[in-house]
Amino acid sequence: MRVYLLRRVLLLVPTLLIASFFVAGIARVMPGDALQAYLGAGRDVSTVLGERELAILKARLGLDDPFAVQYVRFIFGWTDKEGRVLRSGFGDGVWRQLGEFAADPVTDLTFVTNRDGWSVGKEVLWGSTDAGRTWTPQHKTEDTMNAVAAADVDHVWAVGDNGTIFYSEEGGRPTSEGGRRGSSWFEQQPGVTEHLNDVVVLDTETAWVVGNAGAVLATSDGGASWRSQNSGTSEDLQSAAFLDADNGLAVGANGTILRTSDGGASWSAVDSGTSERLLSVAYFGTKAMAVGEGGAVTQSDDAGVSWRVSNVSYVLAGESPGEPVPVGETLRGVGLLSDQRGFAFGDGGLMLETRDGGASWQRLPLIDQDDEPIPERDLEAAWPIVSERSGEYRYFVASSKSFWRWGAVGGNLGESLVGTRTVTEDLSRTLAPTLQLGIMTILLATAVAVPLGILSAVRQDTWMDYTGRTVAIAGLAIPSFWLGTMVILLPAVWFDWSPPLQYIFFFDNPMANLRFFAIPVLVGGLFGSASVMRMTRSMMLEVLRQDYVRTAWSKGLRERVVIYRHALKNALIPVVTIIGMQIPLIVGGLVIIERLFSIPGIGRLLLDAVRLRDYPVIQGINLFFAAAVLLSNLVVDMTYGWLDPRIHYG
Amino acid sequence: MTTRTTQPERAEEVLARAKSRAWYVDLWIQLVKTKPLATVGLVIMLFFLIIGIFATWIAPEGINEPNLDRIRTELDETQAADASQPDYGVWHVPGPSWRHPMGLDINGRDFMSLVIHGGRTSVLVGIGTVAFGIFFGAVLGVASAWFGGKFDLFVQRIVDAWLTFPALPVLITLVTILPTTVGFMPLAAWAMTKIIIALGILWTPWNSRIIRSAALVVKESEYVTAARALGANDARIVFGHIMPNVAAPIITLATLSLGGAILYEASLSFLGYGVPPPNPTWGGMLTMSQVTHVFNAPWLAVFPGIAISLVVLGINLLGDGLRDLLDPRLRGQT
Repeated sequence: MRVYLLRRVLLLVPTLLIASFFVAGIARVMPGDALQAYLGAGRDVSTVLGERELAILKARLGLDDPFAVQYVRFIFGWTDKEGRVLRSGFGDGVWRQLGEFAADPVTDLTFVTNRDGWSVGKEVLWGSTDAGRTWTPQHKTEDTMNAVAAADVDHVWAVGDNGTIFYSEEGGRPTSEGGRRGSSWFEQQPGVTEHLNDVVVLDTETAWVVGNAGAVLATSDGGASWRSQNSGTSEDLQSAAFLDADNGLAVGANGTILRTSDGGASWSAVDSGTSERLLSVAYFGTKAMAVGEGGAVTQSDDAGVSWRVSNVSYVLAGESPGEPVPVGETLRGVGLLSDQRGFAFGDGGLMLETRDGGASWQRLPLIDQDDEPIPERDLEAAWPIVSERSGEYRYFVASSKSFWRWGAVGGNLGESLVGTRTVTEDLSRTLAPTLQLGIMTILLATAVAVPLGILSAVRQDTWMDYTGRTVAIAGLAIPSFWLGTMVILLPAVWFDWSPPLQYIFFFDNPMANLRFFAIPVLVGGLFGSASVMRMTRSMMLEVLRQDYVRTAWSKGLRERVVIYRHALKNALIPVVTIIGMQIPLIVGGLVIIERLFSIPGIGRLLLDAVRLRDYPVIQGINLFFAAAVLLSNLVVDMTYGWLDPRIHYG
Repeated sequence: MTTRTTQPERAEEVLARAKSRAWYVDLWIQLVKTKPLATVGLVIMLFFLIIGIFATWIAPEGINEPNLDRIRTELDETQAADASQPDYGVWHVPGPSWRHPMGLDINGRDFMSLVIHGGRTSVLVGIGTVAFGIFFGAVLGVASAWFGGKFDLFVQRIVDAWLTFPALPVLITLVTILPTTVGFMPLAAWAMTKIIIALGILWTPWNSRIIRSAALVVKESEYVTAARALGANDARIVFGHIMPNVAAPIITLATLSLGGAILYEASLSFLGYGVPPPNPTWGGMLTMSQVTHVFNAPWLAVFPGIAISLVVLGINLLGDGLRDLLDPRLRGQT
């Protein structure tokens, strides 16, 4: 029995996987309509969206990935990032979490005073005016934002993917123009579509932006116009730093370092001594430092003309420094506070400080307020401020942690395109009425059909049999939506009475709940009971013709004994199978019953989702139905074995 | 050769059988002789099929010909007194009469003509679905049985997975996935084709499973072995022996799925995923917005429902009878 059960459950897995394959395909075949869901009805996708917007939208919905990727993501999950912003304490090594960032990782942050700062992340621009204790979302963008920089408390730039540049002249604070709260962020038009990775701001008028494919942009009029500069490279540029209006550095993939001494009018490549992707560059006086993947650190003492690679190792800060540990992790950022003092940070919670121009480094402990060491967090960005009281340096860091977000196997069916709810929430909200309706319908169908079928068979070719069969075959022919409509309307016309149409949760008021469900269950049960009744009748007839029944009769047993003890038990076995076969039909029919009697169940949810082309919800419902049917089939199989002792599992 | 001459009575038998009618003609004659209920069903089905196919010629009036002269609105007194109110009044729609046996609809169109035209949608969708589903079901089922082995296993696992989806949600999803309009077809025709495709896709796996099990029996039968021994090639065995011998379950299947297709077409139209208005469909006529006129014109809610029930009832009766004749083992199954 146990072996059989196990094998039966294991057999469900491939079936469910193939079923999920069909379901995942829904997203594939309706991409146009899925975009339509975003835009609202009646607007043509191709006229409303330009090529760039279309690409963004498709990327966000995951529609531009190959089907295999979409499928794996839908079923098993994907690597997701969760972000936090932390601030270091006063030398006690405890970092405190700041703000609520809705789990989206922050990619960059900056402060212009000890109080005023901004951070950017996945599609949100955040601002803080209280030293990072609280963060307010200031603007929602279409693209992932990569960097933010400010000239003063008012003038801020943020750059991101697909050539996005946002600018605010009011520190990003919301405006109340014409009595309506609006964003003071507005988009500038750089005229490129490359991903922009860093922005450097010199003053309120002058700024540079670097990005993929060697893109370098500059403005000298506060971003009103951006001009492309010739960087002479097609490598992705990750970061830039400027000492003044003339001298600047930019770093990027394959150890690229570019140098300019005329404000970017001409850039020249210099030898960095490494071929790792450089992710960040810092510039102070004649000192320059760049860090990158694989713990690469390269330094220059002559304003970036010549560079030397140094193998960095660190000791722990505090009283027991321990042995030097070489850096192997990716370093994501570097900063210079003077020509002696600097910091670098990266993956694995690495936060390093140097006080001797990069010759030796010590690692700051990273412990959060719950006393939990957080080395598994990656540091995306850091910003130093000087404490007003002690003159000590403190850091803000944006940290992120990658984790596996489960797909359908973990109960995560994605998010609704229309609402803010997840599909799982939608399903669990609508589950109760549908479950109750389904179970009651099946129970009613069985309770009515099985006795009627037996009666019909035992009294074969009498008026009872004919009545039962006629009712059954009519029950198959009368559409439930018509029957339901008549049941709602005719009593209203004749008796001025209509069935209750307000759903009440069972445990809130059981009587009202049952009164509400009575009519829908009757209407829905007719179809199910019709086929179960026909099946019971024919099975019973077959059994009644068997030899052992004839033997029972000839022994002179009473009719009751023959029927109940000998015939019924054997006839019930296939009837259970038939009831199992009815389950998908009854479940499918619930859509109509729920629509008719305005029951807020899964069927109604499906109709709404289909109307709005909300395909994650459609996917979720279909998968849920498939799983429910499979599960009930399993239960039926188990019952079958329990009823028929001849079946030995194993 | 010698066996024939030594058994002359056997030769006579063969001759007599050769003279007799084809088995499918025989089937209908037997049906009419022995199954009165199924015969009634056959008549009902043929009646609706003819009405549906020839709707344009049979319907006394077109679907866009309102008899506005026969409808009148009666203002109630409060409204009549207020001259600023528009002429909203109680609609008086004439009910069944000799001229309009099913009355008029709320727009003054002859309701019987609408029901007849609605029948055409149902019948066309039904026939299309049966053709689609049976053709692909037979191809898949026979192929699965014929090739067997890994191919069969693969196909059957996919069919297994498909059968776990409840019908109506899948239908709604499929109809939604297909494009709303196509360039090469009028709107109504495409809407019908969409339902046919959706129902066909839904039922092909079901049909293939039933046809497969029939084909498996035939494949293992002695006459197929005999045909093979006589040197018949694969094509001859499949098309000459297996296909004709799975015709019996196919006929039953086709009949029953015709009824199902009509029922599902009506359900889809009722939910608003069928052929769009103004094209009349039985399901569409029964949507709530139409039926709210039931106080003024109850026949609007009655006749389409009767039509659906009657045609499906007739088809089911016929299907039952056919199944009893063709395959007694399956008696009573739905």
